[in-house]
Amino acid sequence: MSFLEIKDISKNYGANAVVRNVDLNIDKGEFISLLGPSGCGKTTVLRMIAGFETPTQGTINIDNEDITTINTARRNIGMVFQAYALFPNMTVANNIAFGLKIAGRSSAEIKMRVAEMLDLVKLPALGDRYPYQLSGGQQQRIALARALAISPRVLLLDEPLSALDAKIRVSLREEIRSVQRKLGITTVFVTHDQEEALSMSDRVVVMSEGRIEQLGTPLEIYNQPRTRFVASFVGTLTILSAKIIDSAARRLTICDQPVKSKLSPEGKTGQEISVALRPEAIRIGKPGANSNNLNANVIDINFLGSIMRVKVRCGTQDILLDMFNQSKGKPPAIGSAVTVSFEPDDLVILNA
Amino acid sequence: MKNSNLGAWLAVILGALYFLMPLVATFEFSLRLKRDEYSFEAYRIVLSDPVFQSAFTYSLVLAIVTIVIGILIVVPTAYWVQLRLPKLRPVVEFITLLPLVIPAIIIVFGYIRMYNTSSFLPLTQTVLGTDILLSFGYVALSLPYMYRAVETGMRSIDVGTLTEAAESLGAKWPTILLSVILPNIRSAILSGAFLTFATVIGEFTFASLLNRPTFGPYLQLIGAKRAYEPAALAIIAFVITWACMGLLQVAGGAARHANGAKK
Ligand SMILES: Nc1ncnc2c1ncn2[C@@H]1O[C@H](COP(=O)(O)OP(=O)(O)OP(=O)(O)O)[C@@H](O)[C@H]1O
Ligand SMILES: [Mg+2]
Repeated sequence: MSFLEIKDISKNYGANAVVRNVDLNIDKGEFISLLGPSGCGKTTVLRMIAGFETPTQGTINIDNEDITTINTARRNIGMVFQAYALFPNMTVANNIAFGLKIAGRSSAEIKMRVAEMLDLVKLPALGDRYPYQLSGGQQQRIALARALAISPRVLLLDEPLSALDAKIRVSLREEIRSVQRKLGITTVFVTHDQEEALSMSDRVVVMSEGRIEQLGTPLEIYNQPRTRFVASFVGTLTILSAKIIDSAARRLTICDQPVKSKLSPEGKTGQEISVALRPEAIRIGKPGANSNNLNANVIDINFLGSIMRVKVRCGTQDILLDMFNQSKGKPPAIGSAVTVSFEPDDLVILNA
Repeated sequence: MKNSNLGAWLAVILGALYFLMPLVATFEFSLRLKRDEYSFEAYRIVLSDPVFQSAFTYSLVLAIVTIVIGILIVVPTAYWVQLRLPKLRPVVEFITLLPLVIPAIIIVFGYIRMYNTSSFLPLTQTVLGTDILLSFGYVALSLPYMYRAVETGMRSIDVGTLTEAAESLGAKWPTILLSVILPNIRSAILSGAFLTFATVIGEFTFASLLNRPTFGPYLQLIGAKRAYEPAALAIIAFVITWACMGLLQVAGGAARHANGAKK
């Protein structure tokens, strides 16, 4: 039995179906990210877990207790919002103490717990400040401390980092994850930033138009995207059309040149399907024993710092590939003919 | 450059004269009760008049009762509208503006008809009943100011998210209203309260037609009978009003400070 079970929930606003048949089982202590573009229903799923919205259909269980229609106040969940949402009239310490006071803890216990939480988020000296005296990153840490103070069963975070600037975002990301590991708290994290989702999570849920597109570990999501949507949303990727030559032998052609795949493509001989390649999986020259090789022409080179992104054209299709920017190696000249190579493992066959 | 500056100063000076001259004249006049010397005699007489004292105290109590009832009605309403019924906002706004559109005299005649001694709720039969009617009338009269102020205050904080944050921490809505929402709109409530205070202290129509001894009718009475004292009273009323405005400024400043900091 999973700790947090979301069973076939849907949410409609009038005729507008915002979440459709979402099924999700989350284990105790797991860190799950809901990843997807704006408006795909991530927040709505989170708000249904929190109890701010009631599902039109389906049930939500925490620890085998059906909480679908229970009041938020009685769910014992911790929530961190994008907009910090600290109580402006209270000091940091009183913000953290708020939930404990409502739970009727003794003042000695509250004091201890507040100090413990401030230590946890590494801001032990800020208890007497007011929220407006804190930076965005500090406010968000305090918001985390406040949510965790009540020892919630589940921690919910709705884009907690998106209002912060890039540097702090990365460091706070690591910090949230380490706190989460330390406490072993079951966590659902909403984001539209794939890097955030991939770097923090045990498993990632990619959503689109209210549905789950794919659920898997960050590695699975990145390396084996199952749908065109996932492939294009997560990381950079070239989607190509290929023709099946022999499904059983896993032979195809891309721009009329033969290639092999690791998995058998589904379809008849001669059928066109979509395949995908990551730029980092392709190299220029240096073919291996079993590698796929395509003849192409360099048409563009983009300098991105540590790597160069090269665009080559093969027939009518453009392929992106990454080269490390080494001081020795010279980039290929635009217009020159090259052979690009990749392994059959890296050829991703897309279902849709 | 120089010219436009001069023009601006001229306008300011003219405006100041326009407002200050009658005031200064009234003040000067109020000091001339004793022949051949300036004195605060008129003020002494007014302030030591037991009728003034009772009228003013009575108005003061009425104002406080009105403010309390107003807050109790307006704050939860504005909160609920903001949180759950944003579509109703224009309707509620329209209702709160009605007292500005309908003359007080019409409202009070309506009250007298509705609550007279032979009605289903004969409030005007007893003194207490009339007082209740009067303060509820004042609540209606000050509704536009109180609602505006509170509404603006609520808009300046993220009511929805703060409520949800509190809910997730286990708070029920009375707690949320009292310990999260109210403290954060305190300065807005305060400005609403001062405006209500000023309205109630100077009100004449309601009090006069309901025949209650408030400050307004007292002022009118003295004005009809005496020469210097009304001038003194006018100055006193003016000082009270300005004191209210000053407090409002202070409260507003505090609010700006809190909001600016909240970012
Ligand atoms: N109260 C509501 N009434 C009607 N439609 C709503 C309501 N709340 C959300 N929606 C709609 O539901 C859809 C999903 O919203 P949701 O907030 O879950 O998206 P999201 O994935 O969190 O997007 P974002 O990344 O922009 O936050 C949107 O199209 C939104 O317009
Ligand atoms: Mg969202």
